[in-house]
Amino acid sequence: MVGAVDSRQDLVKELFQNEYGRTVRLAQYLALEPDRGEEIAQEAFAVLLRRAPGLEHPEVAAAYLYRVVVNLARSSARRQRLALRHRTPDWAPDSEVGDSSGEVAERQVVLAALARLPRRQRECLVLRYYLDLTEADIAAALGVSAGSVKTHSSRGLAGLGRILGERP
Amino acid sequence: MSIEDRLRHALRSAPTPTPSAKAWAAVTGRVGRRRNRRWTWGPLVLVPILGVGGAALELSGALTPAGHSTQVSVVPSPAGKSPWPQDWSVPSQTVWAHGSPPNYLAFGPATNLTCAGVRRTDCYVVVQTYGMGPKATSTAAPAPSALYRSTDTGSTWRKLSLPEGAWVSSPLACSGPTHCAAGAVIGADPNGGPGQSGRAVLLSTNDAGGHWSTHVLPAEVGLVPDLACSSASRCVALAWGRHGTEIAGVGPESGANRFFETTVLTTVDGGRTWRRAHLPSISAASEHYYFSSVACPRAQSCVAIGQRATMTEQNAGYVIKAITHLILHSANGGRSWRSASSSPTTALYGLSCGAQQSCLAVGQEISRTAPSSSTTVMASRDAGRTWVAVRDSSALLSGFGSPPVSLSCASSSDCLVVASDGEMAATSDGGRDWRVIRSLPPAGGSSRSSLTAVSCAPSGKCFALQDLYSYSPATGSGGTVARVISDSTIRSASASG
Repeated sequence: MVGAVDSRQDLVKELFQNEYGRTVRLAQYLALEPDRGEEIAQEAFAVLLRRAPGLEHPEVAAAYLYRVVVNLARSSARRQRLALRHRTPDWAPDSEVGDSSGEVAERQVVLAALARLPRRQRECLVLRYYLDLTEADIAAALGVSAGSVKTHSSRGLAGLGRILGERP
Repeated sequence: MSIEDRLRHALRSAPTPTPSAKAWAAVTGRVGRRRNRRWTWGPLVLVPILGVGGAALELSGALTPAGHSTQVSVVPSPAGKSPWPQDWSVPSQTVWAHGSPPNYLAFGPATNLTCAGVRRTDCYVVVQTYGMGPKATSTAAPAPSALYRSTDTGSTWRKLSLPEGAWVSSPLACSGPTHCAAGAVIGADPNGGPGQSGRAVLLSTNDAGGHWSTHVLPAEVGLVPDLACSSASRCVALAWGRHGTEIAGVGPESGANRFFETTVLTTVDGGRTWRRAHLPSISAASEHYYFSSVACPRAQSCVAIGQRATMTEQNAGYVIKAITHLILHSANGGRSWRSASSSPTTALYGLSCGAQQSCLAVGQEISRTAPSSSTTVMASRDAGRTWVAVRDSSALLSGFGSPPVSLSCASSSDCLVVASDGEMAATSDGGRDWRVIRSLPPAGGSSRSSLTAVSCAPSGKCFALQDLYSYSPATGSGGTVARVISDSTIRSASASG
């Protein structure tokens, strides 16, 4: 039993070394709350350490990790929306990309447009274009069918185009 | 460049954080905190309680640790002029659990707490849920709120029935022992969220929550974040627009940064008809009002806190050019409003009006770039007509790591304020001196906790809600749980936290 626990910890630690940075970014993009990216990522890895099933297979662990991040981020985004209704929104620019280059401005415009999409569309696009997941992997992470992923991705891209096309 | 390429580049162009030893220690630390817990039966469902010197007992089966849990803790009232106590004094019963059948998703904190009612120990808590439904489907819809009431200082809680599908958007406003009202949304769209779809309504009860009446608000209202009732028939409601205005160029969080233009509505017939109040005139093209809280310390005297923003259109959205923080006062029951005598220097988050026409408002400006923050404490002795800035001599509120989110006064001088990061402070002199009563650490297997609301009952006892954030991966299920915890449990949590 002790060996099983050690094995799980080793596997999660390896996953942590390989995926932590991307998990933090993923959480930020999904949760609409950049300040909580690290917290959500750490909680997701802690979830894997506690009781995640199927951890003997690294690819299963990664898929499970993404699913947990999605769920944690959804909850966080809901809390964030609720909290913002009761206080002044923070309009400060994202400090992590806080220079004035055109590239940063372009990134902010695109991410702002992404954040305007419905949640499911945003999730599909982030998992597809940030993590390069397949439709099947995205479906597993979101708990929906592959057909639904295709539909949401397509609508998301179209919506993103419309929003960005509104720019003068 | 195609849309796909622009998106891919935007998502990947920022450097990713490095997996440090400190981050790994934080991960393993979260696991360790969860081990020390046991289970007990509550009146409604099994919920985990922090272990106090006992061995952990894991139960398998349908019920798992829930997604959110909320502790209701009771703070004893000050006796005479004695200061607030150092510790929380609480009964020891589990109070409720919500939305945790297997294979269901039900997340959301309890944020609305109102202590008022027939007895001097009555309290109502609204538990918000979002996206409840079979986890295998993608059709999760905003779930109805759950309303609980305690009549025994939080020892036991009973779930009350609300109109079908009602998502409660405001704290309860109680004008008497049996009358309470609240804003709600019925029929919200799954993706749009409450306020952007569905129909805003006023719920009201005249038998302490036993039965509720529903009155439809004007169609342009998205939701009511706060309201105040001076009687069963006279209420003042803050009304946010349906979609808000997108604020541009602020990074990935911008989707949540919507400015909800606010109007003020009044009713004199219990919500059957509504009139739009007259606010101080602004330039309609570029200026907008936003209000977050309203109170009516007297039947004709009401006060609201918020901002006036000047916006200009730019690129993909709007940009805030200037913000003026406001306290508005009405001397005719909310029909028309004027700026109060003194303006706050920071955003105000908490407003409470208590005995002897006294009101207190607190706020804090948190800057991402500046290491310090500034605090505002405003006080009124004439039901909100005139206000003075109170010097926070203890500088305690400025030390809060997050803005105050809720304020409630048990008397004209005794008030409590809570901050979202778990801190809580009290004043016994109307806001000049503050001190921390308790900074509750995460507990119950949670990774973080936040205090979401505080409310003082007519008895003088004050209740605080603590939202405990956790997630159960085994079944994908979650829920909202609230409980009252014992002194020893809190001390244990403090020691281990």
